[in-house]
Amino acid sequence: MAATQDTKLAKRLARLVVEAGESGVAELKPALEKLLAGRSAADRKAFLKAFLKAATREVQKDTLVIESAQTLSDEVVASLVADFSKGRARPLQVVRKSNPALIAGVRVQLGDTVYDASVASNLQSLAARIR
Amino acid sequence: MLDSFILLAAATAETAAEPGFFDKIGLGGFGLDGKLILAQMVNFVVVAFLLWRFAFKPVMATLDERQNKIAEGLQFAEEAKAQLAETEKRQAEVLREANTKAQEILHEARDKARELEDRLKAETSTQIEEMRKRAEESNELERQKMLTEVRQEIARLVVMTSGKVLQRELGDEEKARLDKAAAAEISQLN
Repeated sequence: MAATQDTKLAKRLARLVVEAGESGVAELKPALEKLLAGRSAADRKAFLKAFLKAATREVQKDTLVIESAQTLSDEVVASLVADFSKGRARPLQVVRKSNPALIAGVRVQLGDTVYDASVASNLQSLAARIR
Repeated sequence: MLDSFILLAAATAETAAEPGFFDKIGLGGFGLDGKLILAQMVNFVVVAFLLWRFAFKPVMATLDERQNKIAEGLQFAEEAKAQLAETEKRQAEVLREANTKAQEILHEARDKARELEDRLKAETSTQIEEMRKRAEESNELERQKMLTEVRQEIARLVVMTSGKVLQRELGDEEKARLDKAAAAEISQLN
Protein backbone atom coordinates (compact mmCIF):
# COMPACT_ATOMS: atom_id res chain seq x y z
CA MET A 1 0.00 0.00 0.00
CA ALA A 2 2.78 2.40 1.02
CA ALA A 3 4.77 1.41 -2.09
CA THR A 4 1.81 2.25 -4.32
CA GLN A 5 1.41 5.64 -2.67
CA ASP A 6 5.15 6.29 -3.06
CA THR A 7 4.95 5.41 -6.76
CA LYS A 8 2.05 7.81 -7.27
CA LEU A 9 3.88 10.50 -5.34
CA ALA A 10 7.04 9.95 -7.41
CA LYS A 11 5.05 10.23 -10.65
CA ARG A 12 3.36 13.44 -9.51
CA LEU A 13 6.67 14.92 -8.43
CA ALA A 14 8.32 13.96 -11.74
CA ARG A 15 5.49 15.57 -13.70
CA LEU A 16 5.72 18.80 -11.66
CA VAL A 17 9.49 19.00 -12.04
CA VAL A 18 9.41 18.43 -15.82
CA GLU A 19 6.58 20.91 -16.27
CA ALA A 20 8.44 23.51 -14.19
CA GLY A 21 11.61 23.10 -16.23
CA GLU A 22 14.85 24.52 -14.80
CA SER A 23 13.16 26.11 -11.84
CA GLY A 24 11.62 22.76 -11.01
CA VAL A 25 15.04 21.12 -11.04
CA ALA A 26 16.31 23.81 -8.67
CA GLU A 27 13.48 23.10 -6.26
CA LEU A 28 13.82 19.32 -6.58
CA LYS A 29 16.62 18.81 -4.10
CA PRO A 30 14.93 20.43 -1.05
CA ALA A 31 11.65 18.74 -1.95
CA LEU A 32 13.29 15.31 -2.11
CA GLU A 33 15.11 15.91 1.19
CA LYS A 34 11.82 16.80 2.81
CA LEU A 35 10.06 13.78 1.37
CA LEU A 36 12.79 11.30 2.22
CA ALA A 37 13.50 12.53 5.72
CA GLY A 38 13.12 9.82 8.32
CA ARG A 39 12.92 7.01 5.77
CA SER A 40 15.10 3.97 5.67
CA ALA A 41 17.80 3.58 3.03
CA ALA A 42 15.79 0.92 1.20
CA ASP A 43 12.71 3.15 1.07
CA ARG A 44 14.79 6.05 -0.20
CA LYS A 45 16.29 3.89 -2.91
CA ALA A 46 12.89 2.58 -3.98
CA PHE A 47 11.38 6.06 -4.06
CA LEU A 48 14.28 7.51 -6.05
CA LYS A 49 14.09 4.63 -8.48
CA ALA A 50 10.37 5.21 -9.04
CA PHE A 51 10.99 8.95 -9.41
CA LEU A 52 13.75 8.37 -11.98
CA LYS A 53 11.53 6.07 -14.00
CA ALA A 54 8.62 8.52 -13.92
CA ALA A 55 10.87 11.46 -14.78
CA THR A 56 12.31 9.56 -17.74
CA ARG A 57 8.80 8.85 -19.01
CA GLU A 58 7.82 12.49 -18.53
CA VAL A 59 10.91 13.64 -20.41
CA GLN A 60 10.22 11.15 -23.21
CA LYS A 61 6.74 12.60 -23.56
CA ASP A 62 8.34 15.89 -24.53
CA THR A 63 11.12 14.41 -26.63
CA LEU A 64 10.58 13.91 -30.34
CA VAL A 65 13.01 11.31 -31.68
CA ILE A 66 13.38 11.48 -35.44
CA GLU A 67 15.18 8.59 -37.12
CA SER A 68 16.19 8.49 -40.76
CA ALA A 69 18.65 6.66 -42.99
CA GLN A 70 20.26 9.87 -44.16
CA THR A 71 20.35 13.38 -42.75
CA LEU A 72 16.98 15.05 -43.07
CA SER A 73 16.65 18.53 -44.38
CA ASP A 74 15.88 21.25 -41.86
CA GLU A 75 12.68 21.91 -43.72
CA VAL A 76 11.40 18.39 -43.15
CA VAL A 77 12.43 18.40 -39.50
CA ALA A 78 10.80 21.76 -38.90
CA SER A 79 7.63 20.52 -40.54
CA LEU A 80 7.53 17.47 -38.26
CA VAL A 81 8.26 19.48 -35.13
CA ALA A 82 5.56 21.97 -36.05
CA ASP A 83 3.04 19.20 -36.59
CA PHE A 84 3.82 17.43 -33.33
CA SER A 85 3.95 20.68 -31.33
CA LYS A 86 0.38 21.58 -32.09
CA GLY A 87 -1.73 21.74 -28.92
CA ARG A 88 1.22 21.30 -26.56
CA ALA A 89 2.01 23.74 -23.76
CA ARG A 90 5.70 22.95 -23.57
CA PRO A 91 8.17 22.96 -26.46
CA LEU A 92 9.43 19.61 -27.76
CA GLN A 93 12.99 18.54 -27.46
CA VAL A 94 14.14 17.15 -30.80
CA VAL A 95 16.64 14.30 -31.03
CA ARG A 96 17.85 13.21 -34.45
CA LYS A 97 19.15 9.75 -35.04
CA SER A 98 20.72 8.13 -38.06
CA ASN A 99 19.60 4.59 -38.80
CA PRO A 100 20.76 3.13 -42.15
CA ALA A 101 18.60 0.03 -41.57
CA LEU A 102 15.56 2.16 -42.44
CA ILE A 103 16.87 2.39 -46.07
CA ALA A 104 14.80 5.53 -46.63
CA GLY A 105 11.87 7.32 -45.06
CA VAL A 106 11.36 8.47 -41.47
CA ARG A 107 10.53 6.96 -38.08
CA VAL A 108 9.32 9.28 -35.31
CA GLN A 109 8.86 8.44 -31.63
CA LEU A 110 7.07 10.62 -29.09
CA GLY A 111 6.71 9.11 -25.67
CA ASP A 112 5.40 5.59 -26.12
CA THR A 113 4.03 6.18 -29.62
CA VAL A 114 6.07 5.29 -32.72
CA TYR A 115 5.23 6.47 -36.25
CA ASP A 116 7.14 4.47 -38.82
CA ALA A 117 7.02 5.48 -42.48
CA SER A 118 10.36 3.98 -43.48
CA VAL A 119 11.03 1.77 -46.50
CA ALA A 120 12.20 -1.02 -44.15
CA SER A 121 8.89 -0.87 -42.30
CA ASN A 122 6.97 -1.04 -45.57
CA LEU A 123 9.00 -4.03 -46.63
CA GLN A 124 8.28 -5.74 -43.32
CA SER A 125 4.55 -5.08 -43.82
CA LEU A 126 4.79 -6.56 -47.30
CA ALA A 127 6.51 -9.65 -45.92
CA ALA A 128 3.83 -10.02 -43.26
CA ARG A 129 1.13 -9.89 -45.93
CA ILE A 130 2.92 -12.53 -48.01
CA ARG A 131 3.07 -14.85 -44.99
CA MET B 1 -56.36 -141.86 -11.60
CA LEU B 2 -54.06 -143.92 -9.40
CA ASP B 3 -56.57 -143.95 -6.58
CA SER B 4 -59.39 -145.32 -8.80
CA PHE B 5 -56.98 -147.93 -10.22
CA ILE B 6 -56.13 -149.11 -6.69
CA LEU B 7 -59.84 -149.32 -5.72
CA LEU B 8 -60.63 -151.35 -8.83
CA ALA B 9 -57.74 -153.74 -8.13
CA ALA B 10 -58.89 -154.14 -4.51
CA ALA B 11 -62.51 -154.80 -5.55
CA THR B 12 -61.40 -157.36 -8.15
CA ALA B 13 -59.13 -159.05 -5.62
CA GLU B 14 -61.96 -159.34 -3.10
CA THR B 15 -64.25 -160.76 -5.72
CA ALA B 16 -61.64 -163.17 -7.12
CA ALA B 17 -60.76 -164.47 -3.66
CA GLU B 18 -64.15 -165.95 -3.18
CA PRO B 19 -64.07 -169.96 -3.75
CA GLY B 20 -65.52 -171.24 -6.98
CA PHE B 21 -65.83 -167.85 -8.50
CA PHE B 22 -64.28 -168.86 -11.83
CA ASP B 23 -66.39 -171.92 -11.81
CA LYS B 24 -69.47 -169.81 -11.31
CA ILE B 25 -68.61 -167.64 -14.27
CA GLY B 26 -67.66 -170.66 -16.47
CA LEU B 27 -63.80 -170.15 -16.47
CA GLY B 28 -62.83 -173.04 -14.17
CA GLY B 29 -61.75 -175.20 -17.14
CA PHE B 30 -58.69 -172.80 -17.89
CA GLY B 31 -56.92 -173.80 -14.61
CA LEU B 32 -56.96 -170.34 -13.12
CA ASP B 33 -56.07 -169.96 -9.46
CA GLY B 34 -57.96 -167.07 -7.88
CA LYS B 35 -55.56 -166.60 -4.97
CA LEU B 36 -52.54 -166.45 -7.22
CA ILE B 37 -54.12 -163.92 -9.45
CA LEU B 38 -55.08 -161.90 -6.43
CA ALA B 39 -51.57 -162.02 -5.10
CA GLN B 40 -50.18 -160.94 -8.46
CA MET B 41 -52.60 -158.13 -8.62
CA VAL B 42 -51.63 -156.94 -5.15
CA ASN B 43 -47.93 -157.17 -6.14
CA PHE B 44 -48.64 -155.20 -9.23
CA VAL B 45 -50.42 -152.52 -7.29
CA VAL B 46 -47.63 -152.28 -4.73
CA VAL B 47 -44.94 -152.12 -7.42
CA ALA B 48 -46.96 -149.58 -9.36
CA PHE B 49 -47.39 -147.45 -6.24
CA LEU B 50 -43.69 -147.63 -5.37
CA LEU B 51 -42.70 -146.76 -8.93
CA TRP B 52 -45.16 -143.90 -8.94
CA ARG B 53 -44.06 -142.61 -5.56
CA PHE B 54 -40.26 -142.88 -5.81
CA ALA B 55 -39.46 -142.87 -9.52
CA PHE B 56 -42.12 -141.35 -11.70
CA LYS B 57 -43.09 -138.50 -9.37
CA PRO B 58 -39.48 -137.15 -8.78
CA VAL B 59 -38.75 -137.49 -12.46
CA MET B 60 -41.94 -135.61 -13.26
CA ALA B 61 -41.05 -133.00 -10.66
CA THR B 62 -37.58 -132.61 -12.15
CA LEU B 63 -39.09 -132.38 -15.61
CA ASP B 64 -41.57 -129.78 -14.41
CA GLU B 65 -38.76 -127.83 -12.76
CA ARG B 66 -36.64 -127.97 -15.85
CA GLN B 67 -39.62 -127.02 -17.95
CA ASN B 68 -40.25 -124.07 -15.65
CA LYS B 69 -36.61 -123.08 -15.84
CA ILE B 70 -36.67 -123.32 -19.61
CA ALA B 71 -39.86 -121.28 -19.68
CA GLU B 72 -38.32 -118.71 -17.36
CA GLY B 73 -35.20 -118.69 -19.49
CA LEU B 74 -37.25 -118.17 -22.61
CA GLN B 75 -39.24 -115.45 -20.89
CA PHE B 76 -36.03 -113.83 -19.69
CA ALA B 77 -34.64 -114.11 -23.19
CA GLU B 78 -37.81 -112.50 -24.56
CA GLU B 79 -37.61 -109.74 -21.97
CA ALA B 80 -33.91 -109.26 -22.68
CA LYS B 81 -34.66 -109.13 -26.36
CA ALA B 82 -37.41 -106.59 -25.74
CA GLN B 83 -35.12 -104.59 -23.48
CA LEU B 84 -32.38 -104.77 -26.08
CA ALA B 85 -34.80 -103.58 -28.73
CA GLU B 86 -35.97 -100.81 -26.42
CA THR B 87 -32.39 -99.90 -25.63
CA GLU B 88 -31.48 -99.89 -29.29
CA LYS B 89 -34.51 -97.77 -30.01
CA ARG B 90 -33.58 -95.36 -27.23
CA GLN B 91 -30.00 -95.34 -28.39
CA ALA B 92 -31.09 -94.58 -31.93
CA GLU B 93 -33.32 -91.83 -30.61
CA VAL B 94 -30.50 -90.42 -28.50
CA LEU B 95 -28.19 -90.58 -31.47
CA ARG B 96 -30.78 -88.85 -33.62
CA GLU B 97 -31.26 -86.17 -30.99
CA ALA B 98 -27.51 -85.80 -30.61
CA ASN B 99 -27.16 -85.54 -34.34
CA THR B 100 -29.89 -82.92 -34.48
CA LYS B 101 -28.30 -81.04 -31.61
CA ALA B 102 -24.90 -81.26 -33.27
CA GLN B 103 -26.37 -79.92 -36.50
CA GLU B 104 -27.97 -77.05 -34.60
CA ILE B 105 -24.70 -76.29 -32.82
CA LEU B 106 -22.87 -76.46 -36.10
CA HIS B 107 -25.33 -74.10 -37.76
CA GLU B 108 -25.16 -71.76 -34.80
CA ALA B 109 -21.37 -71.85 -34.83
CA ARG B 110 -21.36 -71.15 -38.56
CA ASP B 111 -23.76 -68.25 -38.10
CA LYS B 112 -21.70 -66.83 -35.27
CA ALA B 113 -18.50 -67.26 -37.25
CA ARG B 114 -20.09 -65.49 -40.22
CA GLU B 115 -21.37 -62.74 -37.95
CA LEU B 116 -17.94 -62.36 -36.33
CA GLU B 117 -16.30 -62.30 -39.73
CA ASP B 118 -18.68 -59.60 -40.94
CA ARG B 119 -18.14 -57.54 -37.80
CA LEU B 120 -14.38 -57.86 -38.04
CA LYS B 121 -14.50 -56.90 -41.68
CA ALA B 122 -16.59 -53.84 -40.85
CA GLU B 123 -14.30 -52.84 -38.00
CA THR B 124 -11.22 -53.34 -40.12
CA SER B 125 -12.76 -51.32 -42.90
CA THR B 126 -13.61 -48.53 -40.45
CA GLN B 127 -10.13 -48.57 -39.00
CA ILE B 128 -8.56 -48.47 -42.43
CA GLU B 129 -10.80 -45.55 -43.37
CA GLU B 130 -9.87 -43.70 -40.18
CA MET B 131 -6.19 -44.36 -40.76
CA ARG B 132 -6.53 -43.11 -44.33
CA LYS B 133 -8.30 -39.96 -43.12
CA ARG B 134 -5.67 -39.37 -40.46
CA ALA B 135 -2.92 -39.87 -43.01
CA GLU B 136 -4.61 -37.43 -45.39
CA GLU B 137 -5.04 -34.88 -42.59
CA SER B 138 -1.43 -35.35 -41.56
CA ASN B 139 -0.30 -34.93 -45.16
CA GLU B 140 -2.44 -31.83 -45.52
CA LEU B 141 -1.04 -30.36 -42.30
CA GLU B 142 2.46 -31.16 -43.43
CA ARG B 143 1.77 -29.58 -46.80
CA GLN B 144 0.34 -26.45 -45.16
CA LYS B 145 3.32 -26.27 -42.84
CA MET B 146 5.72 -26.57 -45.75
CA LEU B 147 3.80 -23.93 -47.70
CA THR B 148 3.91 -21.60 -44.70
CA GLU B 149 7.62 -22.16 -44.30
CA VAL B 150 8.18 -21.58 -47.99
CA ARG B 151 6.08 -18.42 -47.85
CA GLN B 152 7.99 -17.16 -44.83
CA GLU B 153 11.30 -17.93 -46.45
CA ILE B 154 10.24 -16.25 -49.68
CA ALA B 155 9.02 -13.23 -47.74
CA ARG B 156 12.28 -13.05 -45.82
CA LEU B 157 14.29 -13.32 -49.03
CA VAL B 158 12.12 -10.73 -50.77
CA VAL B 159 12.53 -8.29 -47.90
CA MET B 160 16.25 -8.91 -47.59
CA THR B 161 16.87 -8.72 -51.34
CA SER B 162 14.62 -5.72 -51.79
CA GLY B 163 16.30 -3.94 -48.91
CA LYS B 164 19.75 -4.58 -50.31
CA VAL B 165 18.71 -3.57 -53.81
CA LEU B 166 17.02 -0.42 -52.58
CA GLN B 167 19.96 0.52 -50.39
CA ARG B 168 22.28 0.13 -53.33
CA GLU B 169 20.13 1.58 -56.06
CA LEU B 170 18.35 4.48 -54.35
CA GLY B 171 20.07 7.77 -54.96
CA ASP B 172 20.24 10.68 -52.56
CA GLU B 173 17.54 12.55 -54.40
CA GLU B 174 15.18 9.63 -54.32
CA LYS B 175 15.90 9.07 -50.65
CA ALA B 176 15.24 12.75 -49.93
CA ARG B 177 11.98 12.51 -51.82
CA LEU B 178 11.01 9.41 -49.84
CA ASP B 179 11.96 11.14 -46.56
CA LYS B 180 9.74 14.05 -47.43
CA ALA B 181 6.83 11.78 -48.37
CA ALA B 182 7.28 9.81 -45.15
CA ALA B 183 7.30 13.00 -43.06
CA ALA B 184 4.09 14.09 -44.77
CA GLU B 185 2.54 10.70 -44.11
CA ILE B 186 3.49 10.85 -40.43
CA SER B 187 2.16 14.39 -40.14
CA GLN B 188 -1.15 13.15 -41.52
CA LEU B 189 -1.21 10.28 -39.04
CA ASN B 190 -0.49 12.60 -36.17
